[in-house]
Amino acid sequence: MTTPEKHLVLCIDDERIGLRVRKLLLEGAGYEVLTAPDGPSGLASFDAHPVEAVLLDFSMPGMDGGEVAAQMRSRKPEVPILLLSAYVGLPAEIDGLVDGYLTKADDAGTLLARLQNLLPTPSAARGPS
Amino acid sequence: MNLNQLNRILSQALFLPVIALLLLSGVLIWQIFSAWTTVNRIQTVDQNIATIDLISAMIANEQTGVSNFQTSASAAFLQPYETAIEPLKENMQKLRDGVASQNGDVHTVDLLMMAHHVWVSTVAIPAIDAAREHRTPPLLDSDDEATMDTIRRLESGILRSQQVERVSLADHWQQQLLKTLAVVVGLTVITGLLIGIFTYSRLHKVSSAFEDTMEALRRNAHSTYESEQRLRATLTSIGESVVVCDVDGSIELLNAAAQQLSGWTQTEAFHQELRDVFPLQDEITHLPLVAPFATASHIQQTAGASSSAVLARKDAEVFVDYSGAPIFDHSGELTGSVIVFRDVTEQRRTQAALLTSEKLAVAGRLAASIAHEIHNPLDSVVNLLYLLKKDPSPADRAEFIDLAQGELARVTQISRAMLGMHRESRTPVVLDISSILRSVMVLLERSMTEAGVTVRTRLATNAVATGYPAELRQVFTNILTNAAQASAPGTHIDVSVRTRPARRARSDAPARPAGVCIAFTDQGHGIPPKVLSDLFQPFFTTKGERGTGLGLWISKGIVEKHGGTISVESKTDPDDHGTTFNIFLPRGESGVESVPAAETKSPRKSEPERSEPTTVA
Repeated sequence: MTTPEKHLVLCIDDERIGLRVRKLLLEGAGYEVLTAPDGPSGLASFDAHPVEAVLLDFSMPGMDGGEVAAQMRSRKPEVPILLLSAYVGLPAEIDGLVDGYLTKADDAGTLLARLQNLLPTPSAARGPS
Repeated sequence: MNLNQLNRILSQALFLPVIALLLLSGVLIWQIFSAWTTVNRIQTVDQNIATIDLISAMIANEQTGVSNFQTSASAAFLQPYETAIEPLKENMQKLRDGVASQNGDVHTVDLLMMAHHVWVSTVAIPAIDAAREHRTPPLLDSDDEATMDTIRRLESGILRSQQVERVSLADHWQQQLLKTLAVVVGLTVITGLLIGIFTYSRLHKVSSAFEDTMEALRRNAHSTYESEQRLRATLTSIGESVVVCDVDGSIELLNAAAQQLSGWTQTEAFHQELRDVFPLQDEITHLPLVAPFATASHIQQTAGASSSAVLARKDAEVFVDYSGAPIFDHSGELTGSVIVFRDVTEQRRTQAALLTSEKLAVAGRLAASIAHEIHNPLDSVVNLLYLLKKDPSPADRAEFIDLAQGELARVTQISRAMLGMHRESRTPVVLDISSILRSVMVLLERSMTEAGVTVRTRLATNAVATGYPAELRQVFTNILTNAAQASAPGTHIDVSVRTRPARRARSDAPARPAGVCIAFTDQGHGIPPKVLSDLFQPFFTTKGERGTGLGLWISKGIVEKHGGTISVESKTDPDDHGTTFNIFLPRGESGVESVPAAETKSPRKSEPERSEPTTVA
């Protein structure tokens, strides 16, 4: 796990435990993980680091996932965003804004597979080292 | 014409003839007086005539006496002459006075007196003297004769003038009599006519006033009849059931709707007791109600207030609202009551349907919120299980298991709160309001967090009220959800529960029972006054598609069913805004009268969620 090609993923969720477990999960799967407990601090991390993918919770106090995604799209449209939600459905206006969404408590394997699909292969993205 | 005018006319009719007759009698008295004066004058004239006759006779006696004495010289023949001298003087004077008194010709009398004097001195005395001296008496010459002739002429002149006077006075008296008669008759006729005309005109006035009064009475009677007919028609055609009772609560009138509602006809129900025709029962307990409006005191106490009951008809049960009003006669005496019944069965059904639909809407909203609550910890558990499957180090494994247990405990807590939410209770139970509020807030935690709102609580312990827990949860959920939706992120909602002691009635405030006051205060923009008044109306919403407009209406119904009150105050000032809902729930028995004592003190007082109170902060 010391390869420099680790992808940097940003996780934003107001659920403290959920965020912690997700970080453990992603790190176990070989990602480098940044976490943020709300929209504004998430956007700050997004601007400050070369984030390659974002895992974003939808329902958060203050700024919800939809707003955060819109801000991110306007700043770095190329970064893929995967929206997580505890609700079964999402508001229609969010649909076109993100690259995909997942319902919380789905299988963890599904989450990892979706994330993998969104990221360019290490070789394609970074070229031969 | 009023009574005063009539009285004036009556006194005019009495006094005017009296005054007229008094005037007439004045005229009569005056006429009689002047006739009496005339008669007096006639009497004077008669006296004068008698006097002149006497004078003539006396002078004739004197003359005869003198001449006989002359011839015979016998003193006896002279006696008439001598005896006549003094009376003649008196009578002369009397005649003079009599003539003078009627303004007659005194001069003639004076002439007579003078002529007589001349005769006495020139004829009689010389003749008498000569006879006494036995002398040859002087012969009576022509002058003597002339003197006597003058006397005779004057006498007859006076007599004639007195006779003429008498005739003229008699004429005058007769004319006066005729005139008097004419005046009396004339005045009588005129006065009679005037009195007649006057009385006629006055009485005519009275009679036309009487006629007017009669006409007005006829018109009144007519319009009274018409208005009674109109009222009767109104009463008959009115959709509500109207019952008129006498003061003892026995029926006098049922309108068509009331006949239909009760199943009794007017004839059957007439003079029957109201409680027999309308057997009312309590809505919840179905125990017969004490017959309303059967006593005067009950009529006056309950006037205007509307009550609800079940009308237990032979064929069906009908939900009714009813209210009554007292009937007073013109002296303010209570003579009966009017009771209006309204069939609200359909309305109750609709209300029940609306209540159910709102309950479902609330449940739906809660379900979404609950799913969200459960999905979050489940998500962690799913991920942790995935990690555990990857065969982690023992230290990691222990941490993962701890985390998973913690998250599952959250799921349990939420599901328990949900259970409490949907436990329906058929009978009211004693409730700890603070713990109910806590359980509601557990479920609403997520919505509060999402709205960015902090709930601050001050919940008194031992805040006990009696009622239906599921319904009160619905009320609290509704008000808290509204508050969260009205709040801006970063603001607070304050929830307080405190107990309130009972208060006896005072002069400045009515009595109120002991109970629990619950206040929900948000810091939202506030509610404009014109919206405020409609807040508790059904289907009133400010949320457009998102709201059913039933929440507060149902909340109010629930609170009132508990015997409590709900009110709202709101400030919309830019610097000081927010809305407070105040709910009061009585501690006591108001909602539990129908429940046997054993069930009132429910052993289920400790709700499941009470063991795990959660305060959102």
